[in-house]
Amino acid sequence: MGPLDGNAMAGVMHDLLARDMTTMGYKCAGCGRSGVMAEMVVYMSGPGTVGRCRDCDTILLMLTEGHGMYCVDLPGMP
Amino acid sequence: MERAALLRRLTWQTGTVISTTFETPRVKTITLAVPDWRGHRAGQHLDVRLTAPDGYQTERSYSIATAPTDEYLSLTVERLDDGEVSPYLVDELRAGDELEFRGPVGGHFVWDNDFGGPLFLVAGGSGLVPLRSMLRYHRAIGSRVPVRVLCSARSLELLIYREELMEMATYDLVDVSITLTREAPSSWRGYRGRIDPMLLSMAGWAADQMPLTYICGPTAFVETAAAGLVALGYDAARIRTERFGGTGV
Repeated sequence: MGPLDGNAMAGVMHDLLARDMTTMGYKCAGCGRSGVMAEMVVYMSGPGTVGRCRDCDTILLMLTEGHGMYCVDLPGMP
Repeated sequence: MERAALLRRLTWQTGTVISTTFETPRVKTITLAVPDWRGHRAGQHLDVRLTAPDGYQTERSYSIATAPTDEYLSLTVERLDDGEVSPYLVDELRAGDELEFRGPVGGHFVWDNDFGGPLFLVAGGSGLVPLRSMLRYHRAIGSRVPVRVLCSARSLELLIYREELMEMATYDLVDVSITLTREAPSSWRGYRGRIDPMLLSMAGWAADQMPLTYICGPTAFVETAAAGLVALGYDAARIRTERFGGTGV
């Protein structure tokens, strides 16, 4: 499965943060691009979910789940 | 009150399948009865979860095919041969079965009448599903926003909602263009071939009309369409996109 976009994370992010996150704005720490989460390039076929900047590929979000616990890292979002 | 409602966690719910209908040999519409359905916005999707007898669970997102104003909730699902969820939904699921889901989710790829227009809806293959929800809603609320629709399909037989699209095209505010990429009947008078800037400029609006555009389809299709429209001068901020892992168009 190729990359998707942030719309594909809507359900899990809504579940974890109790609101729709696809319209949440972000500014990329790598290139300064601003956008909304729906526009991220999202890879879901690996063991976790990775969201990258559409312009510069900087990792903005990593989401992993194990034993019912979720871990969300936001390395590229200042 | 409103804040409390917004901060509600999403829970998994169960719907009962009322009917299933094949749109093409590989694409099925599943209509669900959902007790206490809290409504959705045109363009939103659901996450569907399957649980195997050994407890293994997996989930996938499917766009809602019906309008907020429709009586029932339907999903349209394309069967992916290497899929974990879609072969079950297309091949096995029957009326009377239960289906677990959460949603509706997604607040970005949605259309409301007050977003303005003109509207340009671009669909690759089963990317037409959320756009059909928007078109039905547009009709149901009597919107005066003019709409142009461009659908790309491999052949006429593989175009989903064929009859409904033809019917929608008779409405004077809605203009439907179809391009067939693999095979077309000899009498075909629509477009042929994959989308490119030329086709987008013929089927869409002039950039200076400031169209609001929704593009949904497989990733490569969406990238091509979005880049083409930006090259034609469309404002990138008025282009909303949704990508899925379906087959090519």
